[in-house]
Amino acid sequence: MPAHSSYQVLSPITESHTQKTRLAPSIPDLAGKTIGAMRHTFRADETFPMIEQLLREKYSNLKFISNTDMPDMRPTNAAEEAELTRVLKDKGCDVLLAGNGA
Amino acid sequence: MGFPADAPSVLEFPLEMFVPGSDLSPLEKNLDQIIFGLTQWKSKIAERTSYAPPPITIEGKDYPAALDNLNLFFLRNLWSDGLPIVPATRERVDWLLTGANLPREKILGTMLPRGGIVTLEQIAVALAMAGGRPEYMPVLIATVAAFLDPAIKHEHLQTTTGNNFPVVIVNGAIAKQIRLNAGTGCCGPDPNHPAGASIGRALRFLQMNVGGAIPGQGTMAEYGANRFTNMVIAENEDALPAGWQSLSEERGFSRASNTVTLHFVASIIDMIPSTTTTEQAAIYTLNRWAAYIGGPFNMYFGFESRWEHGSPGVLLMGALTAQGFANTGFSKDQIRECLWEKSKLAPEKVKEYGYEKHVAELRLDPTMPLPVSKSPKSLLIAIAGGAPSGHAYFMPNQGYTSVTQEIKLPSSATWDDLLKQAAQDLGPLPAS
Repeated sequence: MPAHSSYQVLSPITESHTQKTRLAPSIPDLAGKTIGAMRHTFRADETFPMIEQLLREKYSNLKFISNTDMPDMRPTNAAEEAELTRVLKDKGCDVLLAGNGA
Repeated sequence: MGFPADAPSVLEFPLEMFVPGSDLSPLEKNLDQIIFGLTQWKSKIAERTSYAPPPITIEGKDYPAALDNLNLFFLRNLWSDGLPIVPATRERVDWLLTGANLPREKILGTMLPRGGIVTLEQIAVALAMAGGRPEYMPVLIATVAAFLDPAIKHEHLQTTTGNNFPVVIVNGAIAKQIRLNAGTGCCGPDPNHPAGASIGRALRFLQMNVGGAIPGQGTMAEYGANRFTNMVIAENEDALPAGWQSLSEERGFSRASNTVTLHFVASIIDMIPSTTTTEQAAIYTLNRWAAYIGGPFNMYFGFESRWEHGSPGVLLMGALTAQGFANTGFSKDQIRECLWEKSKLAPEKVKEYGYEKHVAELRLDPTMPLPVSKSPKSLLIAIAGGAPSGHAYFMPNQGYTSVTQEIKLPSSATWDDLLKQAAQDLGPLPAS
């Protein structure tokens, strides 16, 4: 039977917010680099060491800073972001693994 | 978190992997993606955008069938809460926007974790789905503004494993005007006072559809948000004893202002009995309340920002309970001080609950009893609920702080018209 009634409704969702941001230059690979891990949630005490071990099997001279040696931060404002940036620079991190399960 | 929608540097793993003892091999299988994300990823998104998805057309052999199909479509797309919705047609949304005093394109902010852009039109869409009316829009807009206030940290509360919902307490003449309940049955459901349910459900739709708080995907709340309609109630200002300020007055607004106060809580405790008919009864009630409040709620102490700016929670008491306290000579602040003292956790209890780490993090004296908040003043108290003094509500904290937002009305002519239409549609205002 052909349809002859319809509702046209506005979408309940909006497109996700996106914003142009300047990124740090890419690095070609992880050999000799310093990787920081951050957050203590959801078996981070198991997942981050496992990632560290897997990466060491692939890359030489890797430095891995455990999440237990990093602050447990979730920056949500400019001041907190600036603090995290300072920590990353102090520790010499080239890249950061942030968040684990949440 | 503001990442573009195409960000492959955010890797998804099976949720089960994060259960203690389960298989962690997905990490090894996805190692190349981890390495790509750390080294090669670049965003494809170039500019900020506020793209609005096109309208959706749902058909059926007749309108009832089209409505059924619409509800099924919304469920399949995870845009519903499992209960039937009202179609957010252009006509209905336009009607709801007559209750707003700003353009429909006005942006209030972005709601996380999904990062959807919250416009007035989007708020009206959510209210339409929730069966709302235009005179509810001012309260809902103020509520959303409070929700998006950075101090609330909604991005944490939307995504946590904690089970929370926002409580919204409305002060001012608007509460009665739009039929919000401050008395018997105020937390709903209540057909005499339908505003609270629609406003609260609309907020929940925004949290889910715009903010992305879908169970197991955007939110990890282990038991969920508890309430489909959150909690939107009014304070019973008529029942304030002489000398007692309203919640909004305590937070710096005049009695003439219309305001919303928003705070995230974890649950509801029905404190029985809460009689204050004699001085002894009042003291017994305070002792019992303190015992409820003095439970080992981790969200009193977790994170220093909660301790500095937060609250142990929200306490609602009925009219006669409040009057009984006043007759006995208690002010609101004296009630707070008494509860704060009596609810402290003894050092041996702190140790028994495993909370010594909180004492250390907050740099408190471990030999002293641990209070539930830095200051007794932070407990939110409002007069609401049935008049008899049998029950009171305590809702333990799960937020970081509370925010009070002033409500802005459309022009007085528009507002009067909306209220007249409400009287025609819904009948005379209820007696209470």
